[in-house]
Amino acid sequence: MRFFDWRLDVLIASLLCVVGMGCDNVAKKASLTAPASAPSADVPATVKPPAPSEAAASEPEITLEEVSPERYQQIVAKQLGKVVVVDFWATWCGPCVKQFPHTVELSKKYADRGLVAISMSFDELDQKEKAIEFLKSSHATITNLISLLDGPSPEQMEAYQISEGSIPHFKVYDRQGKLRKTFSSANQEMEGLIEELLSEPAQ
Amino acid sequence: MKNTALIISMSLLTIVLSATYAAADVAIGDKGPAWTKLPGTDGKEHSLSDLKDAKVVVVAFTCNRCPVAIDYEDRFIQFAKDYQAKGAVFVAIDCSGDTLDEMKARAQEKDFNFAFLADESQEIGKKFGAVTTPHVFILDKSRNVAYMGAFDNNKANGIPYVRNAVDALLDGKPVEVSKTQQFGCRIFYSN
Repeated sequence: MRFFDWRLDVLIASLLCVVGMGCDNVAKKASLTAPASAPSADVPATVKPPAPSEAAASEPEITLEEVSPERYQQIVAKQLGKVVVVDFWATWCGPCVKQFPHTVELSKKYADRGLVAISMSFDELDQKEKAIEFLKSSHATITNLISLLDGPSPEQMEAYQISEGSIPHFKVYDRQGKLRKTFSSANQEMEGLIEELLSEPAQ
Repeated sequence: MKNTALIISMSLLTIVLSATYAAADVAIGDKGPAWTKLPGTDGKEHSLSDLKDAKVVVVAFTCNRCPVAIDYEDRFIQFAKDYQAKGAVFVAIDCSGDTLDEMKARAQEKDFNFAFLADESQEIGKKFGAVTTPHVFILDKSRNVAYMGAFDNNKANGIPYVRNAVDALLDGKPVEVSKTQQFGCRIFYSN
Protein backbone atom coordinates (compact mmCIF):
# COMPACT_ATOMS: atom_id res chain seq x y z
CA MET A 1 0.00 0.00 0.00
CA ARG A 2 2.88 2.38 0.60
CA PHE A 3 3.67 2.08 -3.11
CA PHE A 4 0.40 3.81 -3.91
CA ASP A 5 0.55 6.54 -1.25
CA TRP A 6 1.73 9.40 -3.40
CA ARG A 7 1.25 7.59 -6.66
CA LEU A 8 -2.45 7.21 -5.81
CA ASP A 9 -2.76 10.99 -5.28
CA VAL A 10 -1.09 11.60 -8.64
CA LEU A 11 -3.32 9.00 -10.28
CA ILE A 12 -6.50 10.55 -8.86
CA ALA A 13 -5.34 14.07 -9.79
CA SER A 14 -4.61 12.95 -13.40
CA LEU A 15 -7.92 11.22 -13.66
CA LEU A 16 -9.67 14.34 -12.42
CA CYS A 17 -7.81 16.45 -15.03
CA VAL A 18 -8.78 14.10 -17.81
CA VAL A 19 -12.41 14.11 -16.74
CA GLY A 20 -12.33 17.93 -16.34
CA MET A 21 -10.91 18.42 -19.83
CA GLY A 22 -13.46 16.07 -21.24
CA CYS A 23 -16.25 18.08 -19.63
CA ASP A 24 -14.83 21.30 -21.07
CA ASN A 25 -14.74 19.77 -24.51
CA VAL A 26 -18.29 18.55 -24.18
CA ALA A 27 -19.39 22.01 -23.04
CA LYS A 28 -17.66 23.69 -25.99
CA LYS A 29 -19.16 21.24 -28.43
CA ALA A 30 -22.59 21.92 -26.98
CA SER A 31 -22.19 25.70 -27.34
CA LEU A 32 -21.04 25.35 -30.93
CA THR A 33 -24.11 23.45 -31.94
CA ALA A 34 -26.54 25.52 -29.85
CA PRO A 35 -28.14 28.60 -31.50
CA ALA A 36 -26.30 31.88 -30.79
CA SER A 37 -27.89 33.87 -28.03
CA ALA A 38 -26.21 36.43 -25.78
CA PRO A 39 -22.70 37.45 -26.82
CA SER A 40 -20.03 35.25 -25.30
CA ALA A 41 -18.16 36.68 -22.33
CA ASP A 42 -14.78 35.59 -23.61
CA VAL A 43 -14.50 38.15 -26.45
CA PRO A 44 -10.87 39.16 -26.93
CA ALA A 45 -10.01 42.63 -25.61
CA THR A 46 -8.84 43.98 -28.99
CA VAL A 47 -11.98 44.29 -31.16
CA LYS A 48 -11.41 46.29 -34.34
CA PRO A 49 -13.73 49.35 -34.79
CA PRO A 50 -16.65 48.94 -37.20
CA ALA A 51 -15.91 49.68 -40.87
CA PRO A 52 -17.67 52.80 -42.29
CA SER A 53 -20.47 50.78 -43.85
CA GLU A 54 -21.09 49.03 -40.54
CA ALA A 55 -21.18 52.44 -38.80
CA ALA A 56 -23.78 53.67 -41.30
CA ALA A 57 -25.82 50.57 -40.72
CA SER A 58 -25.99 51.43 -37.04
CA GLU A 59 -27.34 55.00 -37.88
CA PRO A 60 -31.06 55.44 -37.12
CA GLU A 61 -33.21 54.30 -40.04
CA ILE A 62 -33.96 57.01 -42.59
CA THR A 63 -37.67 57.10 -43.34
CA LEU A 64 -39.97 59.09 -45.62
CA GLU A 65 -43.61 59.60 -44.63
CA GLU A 66 -46.32 60.49 -47.15
CA VAL A 67 -48.39 63.32 -45.73
CA SER A 68 -51.44 65.41 -46.50
CA PRO A 69 -51.31 69.13 -45.70
CA GLU A 70 -53.38 68.38 -42.57
CA ARG A 71 -50.95 65.70 -41.42
CA TYR A 72 -48.07 68.13 -42.05
CA GLN A 73 -49.74 70.67 -39.72
CA GLN A 74 -50.22 67.96 -37.09
CA ILE A 75 -46.56 66.99 -37.23
CA VAL A 76 -45.42 70.60 -36.87
CA ALA A 77 -47.88 71.14 -34.02
CA LYS A 78 -46.54 68.07 -32.21
CA GLN A 79 -43.15 69.80 -31.91
CA LEU A 80 -44.55 72.33 -29.41
CA GLY A 81 -41.71 73.58 -27.23
CA LYS A 82 -39.17 73.23 -30.02
CA VAL A 83 -38.09 75.55 -32.80
CA VAL A 84 -38.87 73.98 -36.16
CA VAL A 85 -37.31 74.55 -39.56
CA VAL A 86 -38.94 72.92 -42.56
CA ASP A 87 -36.92 72.46 -45.76
CA PHE A 88 -39.13 72.14 -48.86
CA TRP A 89 -37.11 70.37 -51.56
CA ALA A 90 -37.29 67.86 -54.43
CA THR A 91 -34.80 65.72 -56.33
CA TRP A 92 -35.78 67.67 -59.47
CA CYS A 93 -34.72 70.95 -57.87
CA GLY A 94 -30.97 71.49 -58.36
CA PRO A 95 -30.53 74.32 -55.85
CA CYS A 96 -32.55 72.32 -53.27
CA VAL A 97 -30.33 69.27 -53.60
CA LYS A 98 -27.23 71.43 -53.38
CA GLN A 99 -28.20 73.10 -50.14
CA PHE A 100 -29.83 70.10 -48.42
CA PRO A 101 -26.69 69.05 -46.49
CA HIS A 102 -26.82 72.46 -44.80
CA THR A 103 -30.22 71.60 -43.32
CA VAL A 104 -28.83 68.32 -41.98
CA GLU A 105 -25.91 70.27 -40.46
CA LEU A 106 -28.25 72.83 -38.86
CA SER A 107 -30.19 69.97 -37.36
CA LYS A 108 -27.06 68.50 -35.76
CA LYS A 109 -25.71 71.85 -34.67
CA TYR A 110 -28.81 72.95 -32.77
CA ALA A 111 -30.56 69.72 -31.83
CA ASP A 112 -29.51 69.86 -28.19
CA ARG A 113 -30.77 73.43 -27.94
CA GLY A 114 -34.19 72.38 -29.18
CA LEU A 115 -34.19 72.70 -32.99
CA VAL A 116 -36.18 70.18 -34.99
CA ALA A 117 -35.49 70.01 -38.72
CA ILE A 118 -38.12 68.54 -41.03
CA SER A 119 -37.76 67.94 -44.76
CA MET A 120 -40.72 68.03 -47.13
CA SER A 121 -40.29 66.64 -50.61
CA PHE A 122 -42.33 67.87 -53.57
CA ASP A 123 -41.18 64.92 -55.64
CA GLU A 124 -43.85 63.04 -57.52
CA LEU A 125 -44.95 60.01 -55.51
CA ASP A 126 -43.63 57.61 -58.16
CA GLN A 127 -40.18 59.14 -57.50
CA LYS A 128 -40.34 58.26 -53.80
CA GLU A 129 -37.48 55.76 -54.05
CA LYS A 130 -35.25 58.40 -55.65
CA ALA A 131 -36.06 60.77 -52.79
CA ILE A 132 -35.26 58.10 -50.19
CA GLU A 133 -31.93 57.34 -51.89
CA PHE A 134 -31.01 61.01 -51.74
CA LEU A 135 -32.03 61.26 -48.08
CA LYS A 136 -29.91 58.22 -47.25
CA SER A 137 -26.89 59.57 -49.06
CA SER A 138 -27.38 62.82 -47.15
CA HIS A 139 -27.59 60.93 -43.83
CA ALA A 140 -30.82 62.80 -43.21
CA THR A 141 -31.65 61.37 -39.79
CA ILE A 142 -34.42 63.94 -39.38
CA THR A 143 -38.18 63.80 -39.94
CA ASN A 144 -38.61 63.38 -43.69
CA LEU A 145 -41.97 63.93 -45.35
CA ILE A 146 -43.24 63.73 -48.93
CA SER A 147 -46.38 65.51 -50.06
CA LEU A 148 -49.35 63.40 -51.11
CA LEU A 149 -50.24 66.21 -53.55
CA ASP A 150 -47.85 64.47 -55.93
CA GLY A 151 -45.26 66.79 -57.39
CA PRO A 152 -45.13 70.40 -58.52
CA SER A 153 -48.45 72.10 -59.27
CA PRO A 154 -50.47 75.20 -58.38
CA GLU A 155 -52.29 73.14 -55.74
CA GLN A 156 -49.02 72.03 -54.14
CA MET A 157 -47.73 75.59 -53.81
CA GLU A 158 -51.06 76.90 -52.55
CA ALA A 159 -51.52 74.12 -50.00
CA TYR A 160 -48.17 75.03 -48.45
CA GLN A 161 -48.57 78.78 -48.94
CA ILE A 162 -45.52 79.18 -51.13
CA SER A 163 -46.60 82.29 -53.00
CA GLU A 164 -43.43 82.54 -55.08
CA GLY A 165 -44.25 79.12 -56.50
CA SER A 166 -40.71 77.82 -56.23
CA ILE A 167 -38.48 75.75 -53.98
CA PRO A 168 -36.16 75.80 -52.09
CA HIS A 169 -38.44 77.21 -49.48
CA PHE A 170 -38.02 77.22 -45.72
CA LYS A 171 -40.49 77.82 -42.93
CA VAL A 172 -39.32 78.63 -39.40
CA TYR A 173 -41.73 78.06 -36.50
CA ASP A 174 -41.16 79.23 -32.93
CA ARG A 175 -41.53 77.21 -29.71
CA GLN A 176 -45.22 78.09 -29.57
CA GLY A 177 -45.71 76.51 -33.01
CA LYS A 178 -46.25 79.85 -34.73
CA LEU A 179 -44.86 80.37 -38.22
CA ARG A 180 -42.43 83.27 -37.86
CA LYS A 181 -40.84 83.62 -41.27
CA THR A 182 -40.24 81.96 -44.60
CA PHE A 183 -37.08 82.03 -46.69
CA SER A 184 -36.19 81.11 -50.25
CA SER A 185 -32.65 80.30 -49.22
CA ALA A 186 -31.06 78.98 -46.04
CA ASN A 187 -29.02 82.10 -45.44
CA GLN A 188 -27.41 83.83 -42.47
CA GLU A 189 -30.67 85.62 -41.75
CA MET A 190 -32.45 82.30 -41.32
CA GLU A 191 -29.78 80.90 -39.01
CA GLY A 192 -29.87 84.16 -37.03
CA LEU A 193 -33.63 83.85 -36.61
CA ILE A 194 -33.28 80.23 -35.50
CA GLU A 195 -30.72 81.21 -32.85
CA GLU A 196 -32.97 84.02 -31.66
CA LEU A 197 -36.00 81.70 -31.41
CA LEU A 198 -33.97 79.02 -29.61
CA SER A 199 -33.12 81.53 -26.91
CA GLU A 200 -36.84 82.18 -26.36
CA PRO A 201 -38.33 80.10 -23.55
CA ALA A 202 -40.71 77.24 -24.34
CA GLN A 203 -43.24 78.80 -21.94
CA MET B 1 -14.77 120.82 -56.81
CA LYS B 2 -13.83 118.01 -59.15
CA ASN B 3 -14.67 115.42 -56.45
CA THR B 4 -18.09 116.97 -55.82
CA ALA B 5 -18.89 116.85 -59.51
CA LEU B 6 -17.81 113.25 -59.64
CA ILE B 7 -19.94 112.34 -56.63
CA ILE B 8 -22.99 114.12 -58.06
CA SER B 9 -22.66 112.52 -61.47
CA MET B 10 -22.15 109.03 -60.00
CA SER B 11 -25.21 109.52 -57.78
CA LEU B 12 -27.32 110.60 -60.75
CA LEU B 13 -26.06 107.64 -62.76
CA THR B 14 -26.96 105.28 -59.92
CA ILE B 15 -30.47 106.76 -59.68
CA VAL B 16 -31.02 106.49 -63.42
CA LEU B 17 -29.72 102.93 -63.60
CA SER B 18 -31.75 101.72 -60.62
CA ALA B 19 -34.88 103.21 -62.17
CA THR B 20 -34.19 101.26 -65.35
CA TYR B 21 -33.61 97.99 -63.50
CA ALA B 22 -36.34 98.35 -60.88
CA ALA B 23 -38.53 95.26 -60.94
CA ALA B 24 -42.12 95.96 -61.95
CA ASP B 25 -44.77 93.27 -61.60
CA VAL B 26 -47.78 93.50 -63.86
CA ALA B 27 -51.35 93.25 -62.64
CA ILE B 28 -54.36 92.05 -64.64
CA GLY B 29 -55.45 94.89 -66.91
CA ASP B 30 -52.03 96.55 -67.05
CA LYS B 31 -50.41 97.27 -70.39
CA GLY B 32 -48.14 94.34 -71.14
CA PRO B 33 -44.41 95.13 -71.23
CA ALA B 34 -43.24 95.39 -74.83
CA TRP B 35 -39.93 93.78 -75.77
CA THR B 36 -37.92 95.18 -78.63
CA LYS B 37 -35.24 93.47 -80.71
CA LEU B 38 -34.71 90.42 -78.56
CA PRO B 39 -32.55 87.84 -80.35
CA GLY B 40 -34.42 84.69 -81.32
CA THR B 41 -33.21 81.15 -81.91
CA ASP B 42 -34.22 81.68 -85.56
CA GLY B 43 -31.33 84.13 -85.92
CA LYS B 44 -33.68 87.15 -86.16
CA GLU B 45 -34.54 89.96 -83.76
CA HIS B 46 -38.06 90.04 -82.33
CA SER B 47 -40.28 92.82 -80.99
CA LEU B 48 -43.79 92.62 -79.55
CA SER B 49 -44.83 95.14 -82.23
CA ASP B 50 -44.04 92.48 -84.88
CA LEU B 51 -47.13 90.64 -83.59
CA LYS B 52 -49.56 93.54 -84.12
CA ASP B 53 -51.92 91.35 -86.12
CA ALA B 54 -52.20 88.68 -83.42
CA LYS B 55 -55.52 88.55 -81.54
CA VAL B 56 -53.82 87.17 -78.47
CA VAL B 57 -50.15 86.87 -77.44
CA VAL B 58 -49.14 84.16 -74.96
CA VAL B 59 -45.76 84.85 -73.32
CA ALA B 60 -44.12 81.95 -71.50
CA PHE B 61 -40.95 82.44 -69.50
CA THR B 62 -39.04 79.20 -69.70
CA CYS B 63 -35.51 77.82 -69.71
CA ASN B 64 -33.43 74.81 -70.68
CA ARG B 65 -32.41 73.39 -67.35
CA CYS B 66 -35.49 73.38 -65.18
CA PRO B 67 -37.15 69.92 -65.10
CA VAL B 68 -40.58 71.51 -64.58
CA ALA B 69 -40.16 73.77 -67.63
CA ILE B 70 -38.77 70.90 -69.70
CA ASP B 71 -41.85 68.90 -68.80
CA TYR B 72 -43.97 71.66 -70.40
CA GLU B 73 -42.15 71.88 -73.74
CA ASP B 74 -44.38 69.38 -75.51
CA ARG B 75 -47.48 71.18 -74.21
CA PHE B 76 -46.13 74.49 -75.53
CA ILE B 77 -45.51 72.91 -78.93
CA GLN B 78 -49.02 71.44 -79.00
CA PHE B 79 -50.55 74.78 -78.00
CA ALA B 80 -48.66 76.66 -80.72
CA LYS B 81 -49.78 74.05 -83.23
CA ASP B 82 -53.44 74.24 -82.16
CA TYR B 83 -53.72 78.02 -81.86
CA GLN B 84 -51.50 79.49 -84.58
CA ALA B 85 -54.33 79.45 -87.11
CA LYS B 86 -56.77 80.92 -84.57
CA GLY B 87 -54.67 84.06 -84.19
CA ALA B 88 -53.08 83.34 -80.81
CA VAL B 89 -49.31 83.58 -81.02
CA PHE B 90 -47.11 81.75 -78.52
CA VAL B 91 -43.73 83.27 -77.60
CA ALA B 92 -41.16 81.78 -75.23
CA ILE B 93 -38.67 84.00 -73.44
CA ASP B 94 -35.57 82.87 -71.55
CA CYS B 95 -34.22 85.16 -68.85
CA SER B 96 -32.62 82.35 -66.86
CA GLY B 97 -29.11 82.62 -68.23
CA ASP B 98 -29.16 80.06 -71.03
CA THR B 99 -26.95 81.29 -73.87
CA LEU B 100 -28.49 81.85 -77.29
CA ASP B 101 -26.49 78.87 -78.57
CA GLU B 102 -27.92 76.65 -75.81
CA MET B 103 -31.40 77.93 -76.63
CA LYS B 104 -30.84 77.25 -80.36
CA ALA B 105 -29.74 73.71 -79.59
CA ARG B 106 -32.88 73.05 -77.55
CA ALA B 107 -35.14 74.70 -80.15
CA GLN B 108 -33.66 72.46 -82.83
CA GLU B 109 -33.67 69.33 -80.72
CA LYS B 110 -37.37 69.75 -79.85
CA ASP B 111 -38.30 71.39 -83.16
CA PHE B 112 -39.92 74.38 -81.44
CA ASN B 113 -42.71 75.87 -83.58
CA PHE B 114 -42.64 79.19 -81.74
CA ALA B 115 -40.23 82.05 -81.26
CA PHE B 116 -37.75 81.46 -78.42
CA LEU B 117 -36.20 84.76 -77.37
CA ALA B 118 -33.17 85.53 -75.22
CA ASP B 119 -33.76 88.17 -72.54
CA GLU B 120 -30.15 88.27 -71.45
CA SER B 121 -30.39 91.47 -69.42
CA GLN B 122 -33.50 90.04 -67.69
CA GLU B 123 -35.19 93.38 -68.30
CA ILE B 124 -38.34 91.82 -69.77
CA GLY B 125 -38.54 89.17 -67.05
CA LYS B 126 -38.36 91.90 -64.43
CA LYS B 127 -40.95 94.07 -66.14
CA PHE B 128 -43.42 91.22 -66.31
CA GLY B 129 -42.50 90.05 -62.80
CA ALA B 130 -41.72 86.51 -63.97
CA VAL B 131 -40.61 84.52 -60.95
CA THR B 132 -40.60 80.90 -62.08
CA THR B 133 -39.99 78.80 -65.16
CA PRO B 134 -42.52 78.35 -66.46
CA HIS B 135 -44.52 81.53 -65.81
CA VAL B 136 -47.14 82.44 -68.40
CA PHE B 137 -48.74 85.80 -69.24
CA ILE B 138 -51.49 86.38 -71.81
CA LEU B 139 -51.89 89.70 -73.62
CA ASP B 140 -55.24 90.48 -75.23
CA LYS B 141 -55.72 92.33 -78.53
CA SER B 142 -55.05 95.67 -76.81
CA ARG B 143 -51.93 94.07 -75.33
CA ASN B 144 -53.26 94.35 -71.80
CA VAL B 145 -52.47 91.54 -69.40
CA ALA B 146 -55.50 89.24 -69.33
CA TYR B 147 -53.98 86.24 -67.55
CA MET B 148 -50.95 85.37 -65.46
CA GLY B 149 -49.75 82.22 -63.73
CA ALA B 150 -49.49 78.56 -64.56
CA PHE B 151 -50.03 77.01 -68.01
CA ASP B 152 -52.32 74.37 -66.50
CA ASN B 153 -52.84 72.62 -63.15
CA ASN B 154 -50.30 69.90 -63.98
CA LYS B 155 -52.63 67.12 -62.90
CA ALA B 156 -54.13 64.07 -64.59
CA ASN B 157 -57.51 65.80 -64.60
CA GLY B 158 -55.77 68.64 -66.49
CA ILE B 159 -57.37 72.06 -66.08
CA PRO B 160 -55.91 73.97 -69.08
CA TYR B 161 -55.88 77.48 -67.64
CA VAL B 162 -54.12 79.11 -70.60
CA ARG B 163 -56.23 77.39 -73.28
CA ASN B 164 -59.39 78.33 -71.40
CA ALA B 165 -58.31 81.97 -71.12
CA VAL B 166 -57.28 82.15 -74.77
CA ASP B 167 -60.55 80.54 -75.90
CA ALA B 168 -62.49 83.14 -73.90
CA LEU B 169 -60.50 86.02 -75.38
CA LEU B 170 -60.91 84.71 -78.94
CA ASP B 171 -64.65 84.40 -78.32
CA GLY B 172 -64.86 87.92 -76.90
CA LYS B 173 -65.92 86.52 -73.53
CA PRO B 174 -64.57 87.43 -70.08
CA VAL B 175 -61.68 85.29 -68.81
CA GLU B 176 -63.10 83.30 -65.88
CA VAL B 177 -59.81 82.45 -64.24
CA SER B 178 -57.32 85.26 -64.85
CA LYS B 179 -54.80 84.46 -62.17
CA THR B 180 -53.37 81.15 -60.98
CA GLN B 181 -50.45 80.10 -58.81
CA GLN B 182 -47.34 79.83 -60.94
CA PHE B 183 -44.89 77.06 -60.03
CA GLY B 184 -41.51 75.83 -61.18
CA CYS B 185 -37.86 76.72 -60.77
CA ARG B 186 -37.04 80.10 -59.34
CA ILE B 187 -35.70 82.71 -61.76
CA PHE B 188 -32.61 84.24 -60.14
CA TYR B 189 -32.31 87.90 -60.95
CA SER B 190 -28.88 89.46 -60.73
CA ASN B 191 -28.41 92.94 -59.15
